[in-house]
Amino acid sequence: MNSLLDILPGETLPISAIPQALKNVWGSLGTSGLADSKRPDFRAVQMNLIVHFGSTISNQSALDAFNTALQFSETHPCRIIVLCPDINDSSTTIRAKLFSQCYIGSGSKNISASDAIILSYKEKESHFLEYQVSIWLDNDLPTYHWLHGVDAQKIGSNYLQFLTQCTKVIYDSALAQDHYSSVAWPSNNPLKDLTFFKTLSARQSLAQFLSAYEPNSIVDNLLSIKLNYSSSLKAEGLCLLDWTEEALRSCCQISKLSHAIKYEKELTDSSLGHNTLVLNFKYQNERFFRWTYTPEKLSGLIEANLGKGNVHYPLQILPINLQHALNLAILS
Amino acid sequence: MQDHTHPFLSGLSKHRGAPPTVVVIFGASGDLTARKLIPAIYNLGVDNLLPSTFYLIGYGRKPLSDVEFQQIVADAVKKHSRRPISKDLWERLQNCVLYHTGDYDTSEAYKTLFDRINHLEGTIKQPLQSIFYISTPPTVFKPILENLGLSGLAKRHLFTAIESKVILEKPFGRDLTTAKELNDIISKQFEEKQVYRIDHYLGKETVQDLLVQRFTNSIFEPIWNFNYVENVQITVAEELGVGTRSGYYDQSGALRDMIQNHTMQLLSLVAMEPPVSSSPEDIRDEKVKLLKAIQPVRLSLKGGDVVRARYTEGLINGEKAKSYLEENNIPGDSFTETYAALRLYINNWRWKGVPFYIRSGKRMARRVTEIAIQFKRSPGTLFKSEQFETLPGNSLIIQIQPDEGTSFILNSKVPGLDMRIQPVKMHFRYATTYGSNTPEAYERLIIDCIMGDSTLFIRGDEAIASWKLYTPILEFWAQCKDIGLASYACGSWGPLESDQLLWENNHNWRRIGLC
Repeated sequence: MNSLLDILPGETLPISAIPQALKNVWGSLGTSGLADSKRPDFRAVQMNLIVHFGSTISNQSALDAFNTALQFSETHPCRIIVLCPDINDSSTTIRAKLFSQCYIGSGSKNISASDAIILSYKEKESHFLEYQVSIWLDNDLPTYHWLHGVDAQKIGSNYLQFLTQCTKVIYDSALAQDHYSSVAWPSNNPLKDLTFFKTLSARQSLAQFLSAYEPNSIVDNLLSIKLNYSSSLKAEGLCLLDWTEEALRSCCQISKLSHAIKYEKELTDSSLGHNTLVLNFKYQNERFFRWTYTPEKLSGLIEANLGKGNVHYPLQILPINLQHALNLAILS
Repeated sequence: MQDHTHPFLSGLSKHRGAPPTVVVIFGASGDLTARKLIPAIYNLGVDNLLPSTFYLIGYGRKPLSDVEFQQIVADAVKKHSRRPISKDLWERLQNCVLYHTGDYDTSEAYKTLFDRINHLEGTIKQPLQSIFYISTPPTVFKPILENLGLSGLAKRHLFTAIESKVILEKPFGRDLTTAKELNDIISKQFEEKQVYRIDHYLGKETVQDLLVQRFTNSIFEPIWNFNYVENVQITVAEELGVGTRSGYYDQSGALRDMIQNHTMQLLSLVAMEPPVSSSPEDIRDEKVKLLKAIQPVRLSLKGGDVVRARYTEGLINGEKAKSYLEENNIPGDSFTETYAALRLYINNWRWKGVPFYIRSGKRMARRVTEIAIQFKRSPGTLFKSEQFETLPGNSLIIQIQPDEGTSFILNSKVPGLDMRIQPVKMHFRYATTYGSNTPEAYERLIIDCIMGDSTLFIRGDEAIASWKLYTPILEFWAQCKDIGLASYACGSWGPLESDQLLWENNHNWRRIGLC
């Protein structure tokens, strides 16, 4: 069975050859015939990005994530390190590949180049990863560690020390089994959820509407919040629900209201129609709020009466793709 | 120093116009001679910096003819020179390469050497400056120095511009007592101004650039003090293990091998006061002043200012690397440290309260030497946000090797509607700015010695001041033996205890990656 290293593009080389190979990659850029000192320096670096695959991630998912990282580096030049746990029974402890590409966009400002060091390692040797990777990073710049399907249990036992060196740890709750809540993160929890960032446009649509109402008018007599979600949108729905809960708690604090609001979630049978997310606010009185989002139609709808009369408010909610979500997770 | 009055030298580098010189290398068959000294001398020849009359005499116990030694020199140039051997140049230089067989402690051999140099002077009908380069184990320093004195070689053309000189490689003693003894031996045979103690770090372009960066860029001086500097970190990390030097290394350890000498040179150049002139004595006076101002180190098995450790097995570049005790010729009861880290404080107006962290070790994650000046964070009253709380202060990073250069890290706004701030790097690289044809350290040092410029060499009192600081540490460790000797895996950045040394002050060691 091929390891992830084998399905990712790049040139295989010994670990010890990586520093020189990186120099050679950049040394060969520029117009031929120019002396070294006159070659334009394509290699700008703003940050380091570590893409860390879990051992059960599919080849396609790994390729998609790798390509996403490359696309990210086209606009935010970074040193990319890709970590692939090797589940095959081979004797080699660590293997490596080097990938590089030049990106030439529409103008002179859209020229960049990326390099990625891809490492396949035995999980039992994972305690060496931190040191090995540290020598390839520009450690004066922020380092972002993207956990793509890494098991929470392994984080605690194998990678936590490594992760605490990073500026942010990015993961996707749609892939992670338990939102990594079992991991003992440090007090300045650096964790960022890609799915949360994917819900940005959805949250914006909710926030834009609800921010027109005073906090106490949103929470006054509010009994419960219910999320209905299709199975394919479960992660997004849960993120929305958590976000909504936090916002409503703040509204209650500002309004000095202390009643408990119930939060519920229910799986919708999506065989009856499109995949949807529905958020319902149930009030003790005649007031209501219902937000519906259908990603496949790029649309949503707010139907509400929060004290200013009935509102029927169609929305366009553009989805946030993985690359955009990664941008947001890293840069916000 | 050479006085350039010749019209043809007008406008040329001060290194031109060297007097007729003979360099005698003791330890001619040694590793340093082959890897560094011979290639350096050859490259000086390539650049036409060697005096037009120049001789190289290899002195060694092994009987060799001139021709055999010439072949050894040619092989060393081919293997180690940064520029390829030129047939024409070598044909000219070859005839000036000679060999002198002799024991280090037999006075007769030195007398015949004296006669041989006299004979050379007779041949060229000019006086020759004699430079004696001692590149041998320290156990034979004493007989060589004494015999140079007894034979009259040390006093050739004394008090003239071409008086004899002696170059000594480190170690300058093993501790304060032996350093003083060595200085006494030297001073009985040579005047201090004839003595050139080498620390090859001083020959590196980036180290010399420290003084230029500090004292020609006026923006730095006002902030180069305790008001603005949070801490200074000096790292000399090696990826290699002890290799074939295990016998020497086990008697030495990281503190003697690297910290007492190389890191102290870096520290003194970073922290010294501006000298009153660029004369060698004025610069070295300031370095000695700085060393004398360093507070004695707190020694304790817990909570002191020093950490020592030894490497255990690990991974280097994906390959298993064995522990120190498994290396060849390392005794099982060794308690030699392969890593040491210190926190130093300088008791003067400029640096009071600023920690200077120094670390050096073998089998670390990568080979790198750098100085990092970390400045205090700004007060943070303007941008109040969570991201601001974690923003680093500015740093000035001077990378001595590899990838020589200087970086300055400052904070910048990320383009976009939101106020996002993140660190960015301004970077100057020697290789891309000046090209890669920079002289090696030994080339600079040897030509400086030929020209009589001792700026980049260590003075006797400088060596003593450094040993005064480090001898108590060595004595403490000798008493403790392996108690308090921490461990770290090959390929790591050092032991946890070293991190804890900085955590006490809410600081962290820099992880130094490729950049």
